[in-house]
Amino acid sequence: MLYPQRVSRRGFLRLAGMTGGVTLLAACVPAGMQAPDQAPAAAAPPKINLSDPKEVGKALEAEGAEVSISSWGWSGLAETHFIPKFAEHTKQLYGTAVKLNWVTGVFDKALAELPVAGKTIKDIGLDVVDKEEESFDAAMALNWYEPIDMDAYKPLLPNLTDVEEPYIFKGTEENGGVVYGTVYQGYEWLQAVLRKDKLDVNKFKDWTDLADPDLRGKMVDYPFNDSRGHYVFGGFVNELVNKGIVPGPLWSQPAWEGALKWWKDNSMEQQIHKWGDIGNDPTIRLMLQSGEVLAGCTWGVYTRELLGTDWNQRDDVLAPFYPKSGILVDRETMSAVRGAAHPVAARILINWMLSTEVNTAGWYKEAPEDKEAVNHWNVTQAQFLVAYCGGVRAETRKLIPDWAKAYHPADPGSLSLKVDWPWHNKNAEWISKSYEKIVLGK
Amino acid sequence: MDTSIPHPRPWLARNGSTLLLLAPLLIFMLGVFAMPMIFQFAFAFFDRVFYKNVIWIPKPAFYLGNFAKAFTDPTYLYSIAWTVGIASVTTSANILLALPVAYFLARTKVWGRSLIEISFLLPIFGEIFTIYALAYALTPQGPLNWLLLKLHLIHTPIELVGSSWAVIIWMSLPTLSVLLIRSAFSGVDVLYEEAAQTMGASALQTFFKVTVPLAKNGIAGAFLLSFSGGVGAYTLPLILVGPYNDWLTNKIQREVDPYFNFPMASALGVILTVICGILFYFYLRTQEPGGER
Repeated sequence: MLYPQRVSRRGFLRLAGMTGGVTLLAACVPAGMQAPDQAPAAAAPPKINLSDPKEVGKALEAEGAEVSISSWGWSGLAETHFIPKFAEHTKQLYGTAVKLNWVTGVFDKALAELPVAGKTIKDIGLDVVDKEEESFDAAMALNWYEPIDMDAYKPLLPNLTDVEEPYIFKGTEENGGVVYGTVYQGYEWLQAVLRKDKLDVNKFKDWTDLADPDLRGKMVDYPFNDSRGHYVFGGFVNELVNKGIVPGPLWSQPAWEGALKWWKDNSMEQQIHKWGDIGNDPTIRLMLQSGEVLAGCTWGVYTRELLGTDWNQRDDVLAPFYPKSGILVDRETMSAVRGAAHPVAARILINWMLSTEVNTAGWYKEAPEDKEAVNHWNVTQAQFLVAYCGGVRAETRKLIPDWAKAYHPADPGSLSLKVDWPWHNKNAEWISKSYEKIVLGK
Repeated sequence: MDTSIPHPRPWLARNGSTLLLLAPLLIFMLGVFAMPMIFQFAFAFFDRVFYKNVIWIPKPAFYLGNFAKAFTDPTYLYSIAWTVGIASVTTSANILLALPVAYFLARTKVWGRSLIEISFLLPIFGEIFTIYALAYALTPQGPLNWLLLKLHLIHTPIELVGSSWAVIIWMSLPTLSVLLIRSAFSGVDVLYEEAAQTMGASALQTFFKVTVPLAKNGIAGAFLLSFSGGVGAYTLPLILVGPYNDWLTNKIQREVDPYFNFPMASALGVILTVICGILFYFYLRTQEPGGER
C-alpha cells in the first residue's frame, strides 16, 4: 500500500507544511520576469522599394500574406465586411490577397498578463493593435509599439500623411518614423441615449440632469470598476467643477471625491436599473427597446447604432444626449506592434483603416459634389453609424452621405473633453475604491 | 530446507503497477492544480510597482505587505469575514435542511425516490441557467413575489435581486449534501435506532443521539463540500448581487481586473485556501476514531 487508507490530521499538516515550504522557497526565488525595457527590437525595415506594388506583393508573400489585428467588434462588420474587403483590397493593389485575422477581447488581458510572463504583445501573434487611447501610454511604457511611419514604409501610408495633427501620437524617432499611434475614426466618447417617447428630453441638458426622478431605476451605466464608467462619471465631475459645486481642477482627487459625494447625496445609485454595457449586451438593449430602461450611458458609436436600428427607425423613440458641459473622449487608436511578423501587411492594414472606404463602411460619395452617396458595401444605416465617427481626414468628411449628418452633433470639437491619461492611470484604482468607500460605504 | 529470510521485493516492484495507474491523474493534478497553486502562493509574496507612472506590474520580492493589508485594511477584512460568515450560515442552513430529507430518502421506500434524488443534482448542472432562473423568480415581477402578493402576505414586492439575500437563499439550498448525507444515513444500521427506541428513546432523541452521530463522517463531508462551495462562490454573487458585492472571490477578480494587482489577488486567494485548509483539518478530525474529542 502506498499510503494509509485515510489522510490523517498529522499527514495533512505534514503535506501543508511541505507545500508551505516549497511556496516560501518559490517566493524567495525571483521569477524570471523580463524587464519590459528589454522588448524586441523594431522590425528591421525591408530593403526593398515599397513604392513598387509588385515588390510589395512579393513582400506580402514573403510574410505569409497574413496580418492580425486586435480590435473591437464593430457590431459584426469585421467578419461580414472587413475581412473579405481587405483581401480584395490587397489583391487589387498588390496582386496578393492578405488574410486578415480579426482578434477581439484580448488586449486588456494581455496588458495585465504579458508583463507578468515577461512577454510582449508580439508574442501573441499580433501585428496591429487597435485600442482606445486610454491604453496607449501603458503599451508605450512596455515598448510594445514601433513607429508606423518608418522611412521604408512611408510609400504604404498615403492616408496617414492626411490625418489631422490632433489624431496623431508621436514618440522617439526610429528609422525615420515618429508616429506610434493614430486615431482612425475621429471623435469617440462616452455619452448617453434617452427614450424620448417616455421622457421629456428637453429637461436633459447636462449630466446632472440624469438625476431627474423620472429616471429612478431606469438607467444603465458602466460600473465604477470599469474605465468606461470613470469616463462617463468624468462628465459629471467636469460639470460639477464648472458649476463650482465641487473644487477643481477636473483632474484632481478633491474634484472626484466631491463628485462622488454628490453622486451619493443625490441618490444616483437609485437611478441605476443595471450596471452594464448597453452597446454590446443584447439583453440590456432589449430593456431599452421595451422601455424597462429609459437611459443608457454608452459610446457614441453605439448611441448612433441604436438610433439607426430598425426598431428605432420604425418607432422613432430614441434621442442622443449630448451634455452641454462636454463629453470625455477615448478614441480608437491604431499602432504597429514592435517586431511583428507581418510589418508590411500591418502598414497596409493601417492605411486601409484610415481610408474613407473603411471610415464610412463603404457608404460614401465618389466625389464631394455628388448628390448621392453610394452604398458600396451594402451596409445598413446602423452599420454605417457604428463605423463613422467624424473621420480624421478632411476628405472623408466631405464624402459622407447627407442623411448621416443628422446623427452627429454639429460641432463635436466643442463638446470633446480630453482625458488627462497620466492622472487617470495613476488614479484609476483610487477612483474605483473611493466609489466603494464614499458611495457604497464599504 | 532453506531457512534464510526471504528478501522483500523492491519497493518499485511492489508499487510499480499502482504508480502506473495513478500516474495520469498525478501528472494532471501536478500540472493543472499544484503548479498554479505554487505560483499563486509565490505571487502572494510579490510586491508591485507603478511602472513608468503608467501601469502597475508585479515585482518579484519576499514581501508580506499583501497579507498585512488583507488583515488591516477594513475593506479586505470585512470581505473575508463576510465570505466566511455567509458560508458558515448558509452551510449550516443547507445541512439542517438536508438532514430530514436525507433521512426520509434513506429510510423510506417511496415511489419515484431516484427521481427525487436526481432532482437534487439538477441545480449543479448548468449552474448559470439555474441562477438566471432564480434571478427571474426573485424579481419584483417574478413568481415568488406574485405568490406572496396573491396570498396577501406582502403588499409591495420584495426586492431580492441585487441584495445579498438572493445569494444566501441559493447557497442554503441543499443539493449534493442531501445525497451525501442520505448515503451516510443508509450506512447506519437500523438496528441501532430500534435498540435505542426499545430502551425508551423518542424518535427525535434517536435521530440526534444515535443516527446523526453514527453518520457524522458523511455529514462532515457534506459540510466541508458545502462550505468550500460557499467561500468559493463567484458567479452567484456577481449575477444576483452585482459587481460590487462583498464576496472575496469577486474582490480577487477586481484586484486582477481592473487594478492589475496580481500579488494582492494571490494573497487573498491564499487566505481563502488556508481557510478551507483549516476546515479540512477539522474535517479530518471527525474522520479519525475518537475524533469527536
